[in-house]
Amino acid sequence: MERFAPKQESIDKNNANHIEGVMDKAIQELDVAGETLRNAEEKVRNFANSNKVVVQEIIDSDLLTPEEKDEFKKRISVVVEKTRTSFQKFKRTLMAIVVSSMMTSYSCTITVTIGGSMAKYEASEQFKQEGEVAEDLMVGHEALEQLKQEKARQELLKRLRENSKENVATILNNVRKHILSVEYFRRLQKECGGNLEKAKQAQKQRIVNLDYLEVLFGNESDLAREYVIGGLGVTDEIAIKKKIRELKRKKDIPTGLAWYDNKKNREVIMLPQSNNNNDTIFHEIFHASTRGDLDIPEPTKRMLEDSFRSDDYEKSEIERYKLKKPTERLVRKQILDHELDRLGIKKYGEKFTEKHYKKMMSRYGRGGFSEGARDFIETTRPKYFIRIFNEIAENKYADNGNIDVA
Amino acid sequence: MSKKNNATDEIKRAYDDYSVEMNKLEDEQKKIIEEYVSKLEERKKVQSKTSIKINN
Repeated sequence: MERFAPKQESIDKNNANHIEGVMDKAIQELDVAGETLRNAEEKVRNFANSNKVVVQEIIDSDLLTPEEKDEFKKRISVVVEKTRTSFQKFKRTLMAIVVSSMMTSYSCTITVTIGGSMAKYEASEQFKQEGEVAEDLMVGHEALEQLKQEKARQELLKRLRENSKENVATILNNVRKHILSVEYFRRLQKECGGNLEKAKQAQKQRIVNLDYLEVLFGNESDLAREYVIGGLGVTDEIAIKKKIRELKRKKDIPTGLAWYDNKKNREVIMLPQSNNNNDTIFHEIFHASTRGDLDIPEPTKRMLEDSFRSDDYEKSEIERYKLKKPTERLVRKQILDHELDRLGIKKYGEKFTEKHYKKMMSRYGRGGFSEGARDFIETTRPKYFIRIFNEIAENKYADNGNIDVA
Repeated sequence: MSKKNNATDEIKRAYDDYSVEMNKLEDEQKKIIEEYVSKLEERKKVQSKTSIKINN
C-alpha cells in the first residue's frame, strides 16, 4: 500500500519496496552467475577448437596404423568428455549457489512474492549439496524467471501509481477551483440559509479538508480490509478475514474509499494502486471535501434524504441503505452536475428547467452517464430534480426557505 | 550486502576451481597430442633415413 499525501511528509517504507529490493539483489546475483556461465561455456568451446587442426593432422597421417589412430581418437574423446562433465558440474554448482543464497537470505519474502512455486525450496539446505540438484535446478530457473516477471509487474504498477498520482493531483486541483467558484459559493450560501459568513466558513472548511487530505493507494486486500473494518464495522480478526474472502469471491470489493480519521483529524481516501478511473477519484475527493456527512448543512441532508427514491429500481437492500446516505447522494449529485456541464446539457450554475430534465433523461436512456450519475438519476424522485438543482422555496429545508445544493 | 557478496564470492571461487580443472584437462590433452606428434616425427625420421639408404 502506498501513501500519497501531497501536503505532508511521505511515505512509509512498505512491503512492495522491500520485495523489490530483494528481487533486485536476486537478479544481480543471477546476472553475475549468467556472466560467469557464459565465460565457462566459452572455455569449453575454446578447448574443443584449440587443437582441432593438429588432432586432425594426426588422424590423417599415413604414419600411424588404424589401431593407433583409434587409440588416439579414444584418448582425446575421453578428455573432451571430461571437459563437458566438468562444465555440467560447474553449472550445477553455480545454480546451487544462487538458489541457496536466495533461499537462506530471503526465503520468507520470496515465498510471499511468488507463492507456491517457491514452496519447493523451503528446505534450502538440499541446494547446498551440489551435484544432487540438477533436476530441481530447472525448477529454480523457473522460479527466477517468475522473480523477473514479478519485478516487471512491480515496475508496471509503479508507473501506474505515478499516473494515478498525477490524476489525483489534477482532479484535486479542479475540485478546489470548483469549490472556490462564484457559482459554487452562491449555492453554498443558499444551503447556509443565505448566511454569508456561514457560507464563507463552509467554503473555507471544504478547501481545508482538501488541503489536509491524505491519499492512500492500496491493493485489493487493503481496500477490502478498510471497507470491512470501517464500512461494515467488523472488528474481530477472524470475522474480518472471512468477510474479505467473501468480498473477493463475490468480486465485490469497493473501487475507492473515503473516511474521516479522527486521530489524524483529516480526511483520508484510498484508491486502487493502478487507478486510472477518474470517476472514482472524483467521487472520493467529493466525499473528502465535506468529510462525508460532517460538513453538509442539516437542511441539505434532509432534502437529500427526502428526495431519495427507494422503490422501483433494482438495487439490493444494502445498496439502497448506502445510496440513501446524504454524503453518497451529494457526491453523486455533484458528479451528475459535472457531467451535465461536460455534455453540454446544462452549465453549472445555470437554472435547471423542464427542458434540461428532458434532455438529461433522453441522454440517460441512451446510456450517456457514468455509474455515479446514473445512481443519482435512478434514486431521485423526479419531482425533486428541479428543486435540487435550483432554489427550493420551501421553509422546511432552510432557514430562509431557499436551498440549492452545492 | 553481505549475502550478495557472499554469493558473488562463491561464484568466483567455483569459477576458479573450474578453470583449474579445465587447465589440467588442457595439459592432459596436450600431453597426448605431443606423444603422438613425437611418434610421427620419429617415424618421419626413420622413413627419411630408409629412403636415403635406398637412394644410396
